[in-house]
Amino acid sequence: MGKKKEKRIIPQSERYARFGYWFILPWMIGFTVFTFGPMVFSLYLSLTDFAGTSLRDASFVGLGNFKRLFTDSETWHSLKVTLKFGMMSLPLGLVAGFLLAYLLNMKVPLMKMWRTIFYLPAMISGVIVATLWRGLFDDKYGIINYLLGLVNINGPQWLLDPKYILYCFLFLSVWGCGGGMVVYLSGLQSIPTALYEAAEIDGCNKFQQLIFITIPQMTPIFFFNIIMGLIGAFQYFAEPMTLVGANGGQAKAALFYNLYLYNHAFRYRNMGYASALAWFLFVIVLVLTLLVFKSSELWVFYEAEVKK
Amino acid sequence: MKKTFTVLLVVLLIASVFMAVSCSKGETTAKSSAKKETVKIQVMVGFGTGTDPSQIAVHEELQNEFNSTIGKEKGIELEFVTVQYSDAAQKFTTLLSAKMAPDICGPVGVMGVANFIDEWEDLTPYLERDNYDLSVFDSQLVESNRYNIEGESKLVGLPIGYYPSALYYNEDIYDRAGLEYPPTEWGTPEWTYDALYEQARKMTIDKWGLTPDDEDFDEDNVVQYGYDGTDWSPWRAWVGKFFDENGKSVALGMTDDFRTATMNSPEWIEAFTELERQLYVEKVRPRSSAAAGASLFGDNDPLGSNRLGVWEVFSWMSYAYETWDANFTWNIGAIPSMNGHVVSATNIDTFVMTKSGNHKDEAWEVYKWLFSEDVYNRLSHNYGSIPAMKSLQDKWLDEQKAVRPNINWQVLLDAGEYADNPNNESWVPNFGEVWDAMEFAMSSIIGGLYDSPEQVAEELNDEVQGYLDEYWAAQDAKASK
Repeated sequence: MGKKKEKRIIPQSERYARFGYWFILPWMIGFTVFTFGPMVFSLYLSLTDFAGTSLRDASFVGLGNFKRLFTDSETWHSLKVTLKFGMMSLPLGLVAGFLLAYLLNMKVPLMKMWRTIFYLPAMISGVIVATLWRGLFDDKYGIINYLLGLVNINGPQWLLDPKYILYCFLFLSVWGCGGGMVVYLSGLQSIPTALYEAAEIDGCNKFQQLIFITIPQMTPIFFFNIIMGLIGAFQYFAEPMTLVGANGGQAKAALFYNLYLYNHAFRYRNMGYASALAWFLFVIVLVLTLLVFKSSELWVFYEAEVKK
Repeated sequence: MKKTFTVLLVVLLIASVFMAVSCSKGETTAKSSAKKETVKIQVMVGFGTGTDPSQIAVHEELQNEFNSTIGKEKGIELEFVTVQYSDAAQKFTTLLSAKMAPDICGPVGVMGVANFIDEWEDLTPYLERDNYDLSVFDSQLVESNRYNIEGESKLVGLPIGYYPSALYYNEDIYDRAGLEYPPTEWGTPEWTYDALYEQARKMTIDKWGLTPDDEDFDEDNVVQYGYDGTDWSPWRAWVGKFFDENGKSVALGMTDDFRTATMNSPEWIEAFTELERQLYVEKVRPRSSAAAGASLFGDNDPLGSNRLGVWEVFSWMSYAYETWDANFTWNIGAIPSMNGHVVSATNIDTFVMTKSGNHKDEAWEVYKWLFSEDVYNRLSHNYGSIPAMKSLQDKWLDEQKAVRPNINWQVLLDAGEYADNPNNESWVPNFGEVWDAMEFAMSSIIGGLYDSPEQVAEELNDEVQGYLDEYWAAQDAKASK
């Protein structure tokens, strides 16, 4: 007679976990079908010369698209434009968002109204923002050059002069810093008031409180906004597409990486190459994000954490 | 627990693969089980005009008419499917990938045809089978959709209508400058671009009232320009006016086999130099293309601003006629000659049959019906184009004269004889990239971001040669498999 199989006792934690899997099943299905599946498919496409029409006509080109990417001057140009923009807009957006939040965290009259006003731009879609600013940047009839004209400054052709075009996008991005501001505000309000009270007893002035309490306490929020800003900068598309079009404007000065990717995918019908560009972008963003994560050990402080 | 998770993940992956496969097969199954008697033929609209509500209504009217008459008789159901212009290429690509391509696409311009050149059916066998008489159309316009690639000739579409370019001018500005209007006869010997610049200089005025002929002319503060042109149409519309020593237009900028770029040829350098001349020597046109133009002239309609003497543009600008009527007196003149050649860059709309359509014979029946005289007339009317069918052109002329009797409409009709060949939008390898490179070269001159026309031509030629090499390397690799 065989030994009767013993029924395994499932620990309660595992049973809870099984329940958990059932709850996340809908999301997992969605993720697999609509995100993970297409990602794997695009990786495959990046190894072909797929033109976007028939897979049967596509040939396997191995790493050809990736090799091309490294010799394609336009890729590097568009990457340079994107990096330049990111390096300017990211710190500026961080500082502007934080300063705004810091000011709106003070007891000022009509505070709720100011918060709403500053947050509003973040709620408007990129295309609408770009359309609005196109009018403002108009060199002859735009309000910016009109105001400059009042102080005898001959305003430039903002959207046509390659020297100025990136600054236009910088304006746009800083104008929409209200999104970050809200996150900073919530962070500022979660700093224990006891810390400020103790600092005051120790004789710290407001500036010292900002440097030694507020900023260190806010580093997790900075960290979050840097990651989001970094990804956002590399995904920048709707605004340049609306303001200067897919070609990136005069001298291709605003040919952001995603515009170039879009051109290959949907205008030049090089879906295979566009997939390679997308994966290259993914790797860049991943590496930069990992670097920021790694560096966070040095400068991000969590309340319960004891730094060695 | 790990095991459960792994099993779940594997099941999900299998399910997603199964779903993907079943989705693509579902169409085939559905089609094969469909009733044999009625075949649905889809006409995809959205590659050009035809998407306004009033135009959709005409399509629906035609659709109902076909389905209740000839369609019923032949077991064909016609359906017009409208997509927005901005999404059309992407949607068409998706439909092709999903093997759900529409049977017919149109109206589509030469550029739309060129973008998907491999996807269109050659109409020659159908035309030959039915002894279709092509002489009912302007022959120049029929040839615009004939392609000779690697020794293979194919005609992918018949012209449903055309939009020639001509000189649209503001009579009030001409009168104020005391100038004679441009001639209405094409090919008038003395009507050259030099003569046009001469006029345009007198109509270009700075804020002090000076013209480029005055010593103190303030070119940074111009309030009215004499001429505007190629920045509102593609570069090839301009370079197509230049001819080589064999009397052939150099519009393509490459050899006949499409393998070698010739965009640094003397004719191309001359075309760039002539553009430079308009902007920086004659100073008769705005320097920085559409955007600066928009500042001075208002969006999309320089002539409508009442601050421009002459605009060389395609006749699809008809949507602006009412605005012009309300603000000034305008008319149409012939385009001048460049080095003895007169060329009217022309946009041509067509309908094309897709190569991957499942019911080609039925699609051809629909195609023929769309090109039958009465339906053709309604369609070309619907798109605001001039009918390429010769028998309908007098009627078109009468209709135009009835609405605006003082306009020289005959100029547009006569332009058909001077249509550019090769067409300014016709196919070249790696079409999109080559197109963008040419537009970039043109905009660098208009924007003043260049050293010399020779440098622009050389750089363009190098870039385009790269695209050609890339295209042919891929083609050769495919052929060798």
